[in-house]
Amino acid sequence: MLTCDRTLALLKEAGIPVVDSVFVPTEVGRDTDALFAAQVAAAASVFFRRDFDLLGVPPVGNVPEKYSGDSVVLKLFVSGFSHKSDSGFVALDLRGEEAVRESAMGMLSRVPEDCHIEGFLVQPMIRGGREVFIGAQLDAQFGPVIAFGPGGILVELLNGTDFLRPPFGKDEALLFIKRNAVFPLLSGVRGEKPADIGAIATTLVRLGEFMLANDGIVESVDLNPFLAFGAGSGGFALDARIKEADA
Amino acid sequence: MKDRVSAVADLLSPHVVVHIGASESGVYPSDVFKSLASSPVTLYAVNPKRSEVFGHHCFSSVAELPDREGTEGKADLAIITVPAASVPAVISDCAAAGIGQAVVISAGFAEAGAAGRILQAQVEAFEDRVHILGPNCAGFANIADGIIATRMYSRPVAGKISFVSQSGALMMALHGAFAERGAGLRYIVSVGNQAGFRLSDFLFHFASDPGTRVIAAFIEGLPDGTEFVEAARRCLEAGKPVIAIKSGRTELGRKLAATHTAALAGEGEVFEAVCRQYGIILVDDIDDLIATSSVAAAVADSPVSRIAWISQSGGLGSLTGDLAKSAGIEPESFPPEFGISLNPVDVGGDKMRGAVVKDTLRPFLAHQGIDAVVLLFAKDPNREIEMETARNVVAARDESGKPIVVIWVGPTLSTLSTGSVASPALQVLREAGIPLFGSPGPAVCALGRLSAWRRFRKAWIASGASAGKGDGHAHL
Repeated sequence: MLTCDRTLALLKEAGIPVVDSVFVPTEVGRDTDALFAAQVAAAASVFFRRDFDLLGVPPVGNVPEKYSGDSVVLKLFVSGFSHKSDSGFVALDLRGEEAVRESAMGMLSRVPEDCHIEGFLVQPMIRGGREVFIGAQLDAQFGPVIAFGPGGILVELLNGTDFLRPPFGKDEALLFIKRNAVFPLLSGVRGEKPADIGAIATTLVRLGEFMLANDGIVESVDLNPFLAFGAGSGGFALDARIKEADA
Repeated sequence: MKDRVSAVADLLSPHVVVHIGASESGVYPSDVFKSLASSPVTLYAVNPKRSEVFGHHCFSSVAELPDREGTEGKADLAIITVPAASVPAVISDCAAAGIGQAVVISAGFAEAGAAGRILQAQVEAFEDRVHILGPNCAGFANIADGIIATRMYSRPVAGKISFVSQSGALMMALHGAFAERGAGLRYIVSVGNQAGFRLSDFLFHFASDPGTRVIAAFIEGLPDGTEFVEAARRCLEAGKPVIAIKSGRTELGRKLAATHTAALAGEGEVFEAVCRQYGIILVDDIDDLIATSSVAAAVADSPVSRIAWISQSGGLGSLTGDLAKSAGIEPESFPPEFGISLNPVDVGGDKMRGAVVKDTLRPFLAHQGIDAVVLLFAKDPNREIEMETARNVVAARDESGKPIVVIWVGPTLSTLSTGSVASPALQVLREAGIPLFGSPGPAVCALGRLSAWRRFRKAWIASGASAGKGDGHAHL
């Protein structure tokens, strides 16, 4: 599994949108957990101030529109712990720097000794949007294939994950989305407006290009969940993982 | 040496063929030889244990065959039915004699454990000199040209469908089943272990073969998914539907496929998705393969978007209407000048019996707003008068040039009926190449699949997916 900051950097370079995040890495020589937690809380302040210029890059996915500015999500990356929430390394809806600091302290106290801590990821708390699953994997017979389907708990309800082999263009990606079981939910039920299907299609195309450019190097990519907002408002992944292929 | 795809044409249309292991005993050594002997090829027999085979002189080795003027090879094609252990030496002889294609019918290779895998590797070592079909295959037939390099259980009917099968038994068994549905075949090929020629090579060939309009495939496993995808893309571009069955989609199926043709079966889900992406019509069972292929062949030149459903029975008409709607091909109302709106239309028994059926069909078939006709009968076909019905259905089709599909619900065996007609109506329809069904479900399902395929192809072309997005594969 690639590290969190490397994953975010690669996806940004590939034009695959992930919610704006600040990564605070472990630093060699940092004395105490308290100091680390304080630095994390300080980093979270950009979200509370809605000061997106400080992120150093223009926000992707129109974060300011989706983000109320009152709370953040904190994730701790520890090597060997891929299920962060099961291990208590994810905290949602943290309001204010003090809440972030306390949560960070609590997580650090739960890390078993001898485990390598990669660092903390701070993200704005996002509400709304429709969840889909976007992923990629290396198939033994057909090479890279891009996966798409219902996200969250619907993955199992609808059993609708489908695959598309790159390269493909945006129009072909749109045909692929339209044949999926999740499409009725994306096109809007009970007066709901349609989701930004174009943003999903663009992400699928770019993920396909990413897999071909890294053919044989990347084993799988998971963007789960990927949130699609209303038509024209874009979408982004809330979580991302890249697994390298065995050498 | 030609690449495999170009060599397919040489394989399927040989002029001089040598059968190594020809014999008067043994199922394959004798039956395949008899098939070849009645084919329009120059045939040599090789078998060191015999002086003649069914009256043909028998050479003791390939090296003894006479030289040919103007060409290096002593033959275009070798058919091999010797025991597996002798095959590597025989292939070596073929290479020395300049024979570029060989069909290895013998079994006992990669499908049969470690010793077999070694033998197969020895055969594959000649791949730069001899293209191999098989081993562990049942050969092929070029039905259009009458070249039969396999066993045939009955007289083949020539037509527009080319069928490539990993299973040899299914290839041999199914040509009769296609004929029963009124469907003729152009090429049938069994690829066995795919040591040389692969299933995809035949898809490429069929995509560019003008006589092939519909492609049927029985797939267990693919040695190269990328080649398969490119071949499927070619068929889709060429407007030829590929109707496929894939076995080995469950764990049990995978194990069985591995012992059968040594094929590595892929992940079912990804395979199914790839089929959807490239327009392969994946069906679950053999009846469906034949039904869909036979209808596809019959409607190859028709848009079949507006179908007149004409019934002799109100009950059968309404049932078929229900089924058509759920198959996504809800019948459109008739154009106003017909003065009837409901489609399927129940015209009653009298208008669907005997010579009058031709007059019944004429206005529908002549109308430019109708592409095809599906006829619905519910009665005993094994009566004298129904032969008249059948002949007039065929005449109406030939006159209009538009396809007709017949659903005839009733006893199909004359022994079960009260009549005593030697050549019943159904036989007349079959021989005329009219797709024939004993129940509306499979016919409606086949038409629905083809209609979905045509819609998909249109959208696929419009999306630009067909243009220039290949992998730069050698075959492009």
